[in-house]
Amino acid sequence: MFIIRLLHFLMGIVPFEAIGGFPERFLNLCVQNKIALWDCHSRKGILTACTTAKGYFRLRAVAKQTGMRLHHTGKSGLPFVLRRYRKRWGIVVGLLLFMAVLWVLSSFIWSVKVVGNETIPTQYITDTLASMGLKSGVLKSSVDPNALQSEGLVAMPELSWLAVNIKGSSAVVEVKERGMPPEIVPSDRPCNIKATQDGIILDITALEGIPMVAQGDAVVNGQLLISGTVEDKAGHTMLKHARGTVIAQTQRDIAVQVPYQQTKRTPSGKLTQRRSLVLFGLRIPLTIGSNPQGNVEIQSVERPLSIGDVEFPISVRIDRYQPYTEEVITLSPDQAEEQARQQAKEQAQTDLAGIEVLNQAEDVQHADGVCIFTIHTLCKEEIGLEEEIQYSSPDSP
Amino acid sequence: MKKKRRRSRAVPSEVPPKSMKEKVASALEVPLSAVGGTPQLLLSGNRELTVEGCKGILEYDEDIIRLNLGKLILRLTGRDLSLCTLTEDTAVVEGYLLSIEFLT
Repeated sequence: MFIIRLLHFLMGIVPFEAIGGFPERFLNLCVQNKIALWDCHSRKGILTACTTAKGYFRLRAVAKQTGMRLHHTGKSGLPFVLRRYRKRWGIVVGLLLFMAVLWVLSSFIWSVKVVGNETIPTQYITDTLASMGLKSGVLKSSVDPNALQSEGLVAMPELSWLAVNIKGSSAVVEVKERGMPPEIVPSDRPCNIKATQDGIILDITALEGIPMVAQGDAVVNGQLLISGTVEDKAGHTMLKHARGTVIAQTQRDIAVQVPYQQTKRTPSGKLTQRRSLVLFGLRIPLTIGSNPQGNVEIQSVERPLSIGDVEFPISVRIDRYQPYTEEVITLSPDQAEEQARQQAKEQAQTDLAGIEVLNQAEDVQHADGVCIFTIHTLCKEEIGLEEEIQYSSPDSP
Repeated sequence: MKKKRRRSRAVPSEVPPKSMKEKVASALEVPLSAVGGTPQLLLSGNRELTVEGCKGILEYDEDIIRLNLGKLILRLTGRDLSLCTLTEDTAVVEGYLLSIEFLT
């Protein structure tokens, strides 16, 4: 019924009354002349019905033929609305302009969204894709998703899968990160195990190959620990893939230098905020006035305009200018030592992550206005690293 | 004054012989509507009647409607009857139907 009502609205609805004459003949002639009629009622010699706007003009001849007096009791629908506004050219122009703008704007890509990345920064992916031609503001027709997929995977080996889906005016880049395997020598290739650190061997277990050092031996970085060159009973030399673990006691020193004289920045003056509108990379200032000069620390925040998950290529950038004064301060040896200790401990936490620490000793030296704080750490760690044996096969040319 | 002579529309005492289309439909064992030419009536309770194969309107009032179905005349009586749709072939009658008669 909705479709019929819509059709009636589009064609115009004219309810009318027909009095006198021959109503049956009138209806039959309407049908013969293919004049659409609906909602016909006949009460006390008055025929009421509805017809279309064009149909009503054709009804006049039929009414005259059947001796009926015809008059409409109202009119509604699209033809009458359009007739009312037929001199309002602005509406038509505005409508056409709106459709043209809509068409033009929908042919551009407005936002690029990356989903599926966990460790790889979104910025890195968007920057790489932008260099290949996928960025906000480019024509949709200039983007070839298939080419981007293959080129993107070549340019970003960290990704194992990449798909570019263009949904309306936004490009959704779905990625899957590659689990990067550790660089190990394939098991079918012969290799030696060499030391990565200086140290004293605590334990050596050779699963394959011949151990070249024994427990208690001191080794240096790069020394052969387990050899992949094996000699059988007959005296033939074979190359094997050496496997095993080599645990050694190593020494790691973490040194931090803190000078007594330091430059300290103290915020001074009023914090100034400057807002600007960023449209397709073009910055339009929203505030009047020059930017503060001199010693100023600038912090910038850019917030893209978004509705729900849809991001627009319009963003508001806020630059915070904080003036500061530089002041040279001189630390006492104790203060410098404390600062250096703090920094060294922080560095040790990151450097010695996952390594067993046997013993730690601190050493402080004050010389030439500098405090040098060193943490000597005795560690227990795996020092063996596979290194491929380069050889030329007798079969190779 | 001369009395106007009116044609009687009495119900025939005998069943009229089968037409060619009826015979074909019977021979092929298909419904009569498949052969075509017969009017179709679709009745929804006593509120709406859709008549396909309507050749014209003979009488139209709120209490009585007579439709020309070619070889038949359909006489509908009721209250507040109206033709909600009228096309070249179809008429949809709405209202409170009290009787449906077929006149030959």
